[in-house]
Amino acid sequence: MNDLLREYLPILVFLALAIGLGLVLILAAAVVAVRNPDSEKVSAYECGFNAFDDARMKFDVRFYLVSILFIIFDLEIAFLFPWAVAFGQMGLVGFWSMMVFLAVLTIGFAYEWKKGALEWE
Amino acid sequence: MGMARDLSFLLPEMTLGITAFIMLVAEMLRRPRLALLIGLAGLALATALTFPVLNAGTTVFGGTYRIDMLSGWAKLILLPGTALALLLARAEIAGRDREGSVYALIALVTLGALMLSGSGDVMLMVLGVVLTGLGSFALVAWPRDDAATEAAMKYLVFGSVTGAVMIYGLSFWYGGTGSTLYSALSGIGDQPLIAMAGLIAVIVGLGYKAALFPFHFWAPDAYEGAPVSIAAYLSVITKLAALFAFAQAFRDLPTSTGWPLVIALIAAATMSYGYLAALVQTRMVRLIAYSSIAQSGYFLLGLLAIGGGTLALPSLIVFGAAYVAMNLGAFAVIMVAGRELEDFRGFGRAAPITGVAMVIFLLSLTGIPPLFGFVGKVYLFGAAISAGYLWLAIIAILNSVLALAVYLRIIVAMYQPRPDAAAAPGQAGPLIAAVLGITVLITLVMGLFAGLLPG
Repeated sequence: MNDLLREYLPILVFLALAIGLGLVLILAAAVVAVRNPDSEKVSAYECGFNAFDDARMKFDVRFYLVSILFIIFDLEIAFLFPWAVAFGQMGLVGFWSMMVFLAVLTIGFAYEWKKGALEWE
Repeated sequence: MGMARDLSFLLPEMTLGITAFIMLVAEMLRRPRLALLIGLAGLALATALTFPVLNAGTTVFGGTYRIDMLSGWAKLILLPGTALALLLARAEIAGRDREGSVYALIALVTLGALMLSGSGDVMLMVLGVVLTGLGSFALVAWPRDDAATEAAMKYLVFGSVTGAVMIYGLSFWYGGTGSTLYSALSGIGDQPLIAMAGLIAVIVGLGYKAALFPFHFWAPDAYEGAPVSIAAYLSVITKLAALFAFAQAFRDLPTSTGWPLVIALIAAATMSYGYLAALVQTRMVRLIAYSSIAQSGYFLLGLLAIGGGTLALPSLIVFGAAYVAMNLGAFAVIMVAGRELEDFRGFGRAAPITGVAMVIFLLSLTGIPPLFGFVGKVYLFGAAISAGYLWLAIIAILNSVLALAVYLRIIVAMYQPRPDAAAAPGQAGPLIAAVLGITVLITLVMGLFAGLLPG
């Protein structure tokens, strides 16, 4: 049990450091920084034009679908990179395992395309 | 080599997985009938491939997946049950838009159900819960009307919350044992708080899926909003899978953690609540939904014996098989007669053969000899008594009296004169007739040949 806990000690140290550093930065900003607010500075940040709305607005639910599809293919890349790096040592089993994974993913992709999940309207 | 050996034990699961993806392709090509036929063929092949590994009694992938008596018989029950559900779905939704996606989703959910019933590892159990869950939400929402969307939304919210609680609680087991394997749980008895946290998590997560009191609220709403055939499917396959997963998890959990008492109390509450609520329903789908909640309570009697008693796995398997046959059959009759209790008034006179089938299913659900449901309940009561829970067996028998009141209410209505204003009841099409024939046969014959059953 103690051995197990000792393995997690670095995580505890990391947590303490993260909390400590975060607190120091926030407190330092509160204590040291110069404050001189005006209406431009406190308005929502927009790139290239004047702010015309609150930043906390409702988003179209379709963005959600796009972001989910993005995550799927992002994770696929996360699988593919270590696979490609270790490819030399894996042999045929490794190759075909990834091919099966990619085939499943491709069928899913074709299905969502065919079903119109990629159409904006 | 190790990998090939492990994969050879997973042939039924792999067959079903590949089948599901071919079904998706068939749906993409707008060939729903082809998707159905591929699904039936794949389920038959997977069932056939189960026999070589039925008595293997081993584990694969480092103990994470169990190829044992329970997971083997689970396949022999769940795969044919899924085939019957596919036929019912075809009878209900043939020719409608997105028809093939229902078949593919059903195959995927059954894959998740197989994972649950063979899980030897916490992570695999979570994966099974998620796979069955995601598919089920989509199946309930399939008709895209208001009722279905509302039902699916309730189901989804309930599922997300219980799923989150389950995963959080399971992390305690991992913290306490340093492993996600169930087999590591045998040493958890000296850490009662950690054991209890994980136990609560499992009961919340799987109890939701098996519709145990007090996690049953979604069941009547989801069954009512979904197509009847989907409700039939969800009420048998995912429920059985969750109960089998319970059995796999509790097999290694020491009884000193107190889980048998918790399960016994939940069993008593689930049985009594399910039948009491069923007594006041006026819609058939809701009535059968509450009755299936009560039946979940009966399953827990068999679960108790895992902690020290005989007949634990045989009782779950036998009553599981009986429950699939009689519940699918009862839902098939609802598809013919109608969703309201009022539709059943005089139904037995207007459609004598289907009426007799319904009477057989209802009597079997009550546990009247010599039907299959009676045999299953004898096994369950025996299991509970062997585990030292005589009081629970008595409560279960008293609840059977309540069950008789619930089911007699339908039977009496069926043989009253039919109201003049009522239209003639629909005829059972060839698919529903086939399902009714098979389920009646199982319910009648298996009761007579109970001696051949395992254990």
